[in-house]
Amino acid sequence: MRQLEELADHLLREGVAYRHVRRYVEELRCHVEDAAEAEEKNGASAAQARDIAWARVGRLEDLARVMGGRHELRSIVARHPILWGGVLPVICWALATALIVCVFVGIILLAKDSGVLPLGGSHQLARLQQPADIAFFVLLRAVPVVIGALMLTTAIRQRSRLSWSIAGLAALAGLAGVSEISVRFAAVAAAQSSLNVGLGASPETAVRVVAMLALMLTPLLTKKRLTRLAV
Amino acid sequence: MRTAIAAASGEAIKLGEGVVYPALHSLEETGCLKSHRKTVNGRTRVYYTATAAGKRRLRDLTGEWRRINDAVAMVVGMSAHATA
Repeated sequence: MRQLEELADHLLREGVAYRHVRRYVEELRCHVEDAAEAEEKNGASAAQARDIAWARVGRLEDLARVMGGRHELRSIVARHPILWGGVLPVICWALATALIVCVFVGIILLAKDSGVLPLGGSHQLARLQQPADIAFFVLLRAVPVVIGALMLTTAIRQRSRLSWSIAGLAALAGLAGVSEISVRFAAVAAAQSSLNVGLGASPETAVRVVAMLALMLTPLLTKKRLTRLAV
Repeated sequence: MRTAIAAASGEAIKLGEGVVYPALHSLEETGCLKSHRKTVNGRTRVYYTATAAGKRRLRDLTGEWRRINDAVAMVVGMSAHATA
């Protein structure tokens, strides 16, 4: 039903949360179908029944005003666009990074010949080198892209303005792209394991940042392409 | 629900059929109602139940409304008496 799609679009732009909009539209659709069915049983033609059902439901402007005026139904994206788009992606990634770093620091400390971990001494941690390298690659290059794309998808779905989201994604791509975290597990008993955290800027880093940002923006590019195809 | 409200108010309060849902969503969001879905004849029906918090809120609001109503009635009565 075109009217309901228009109503949904209007409500999303007003800031009503996606889940409430979908549910409201679905309830209205069922309501109109029920009402039209009842009118048809009373002898109205299909077109008449539909018109009567819509008249009973109310004007779309009234429905939009009633739903849009309720603060508790507004989405967090609409209520806090700067927090959601500009700050939260960076915070989420920073927290994930801090968590993983803490895990590896914990492993190194616990395995320091203390016997707490059943690895037989810190030099045995070398077996964890490859999983650690993979974990940090995913953390630094893949997780930011996933977080960014998800945040952007939510903002697009909510029909909110994307300026803060794009700024947030650029900050996230920049920060994650220049970050370097690596762990070196000691291969021999006498050596010490170490964890290095740093920032590095180079032409290669710039390419990486741009590539990450482009991947984060995939939902936006996909949407634009779909819109062009639909037109 | 809409029919029940209209009947109970002697047709003084007639709600548009579509405007009831946002109120129900809000009450559910604030914990006054809870809902469950059931598919009947291929269509999804949503059944709402008042929670303990919802019943408490209803009592509070009803009490508040009565106080205001009584107060307004007294003021209006006084004013009518003074005019007479």
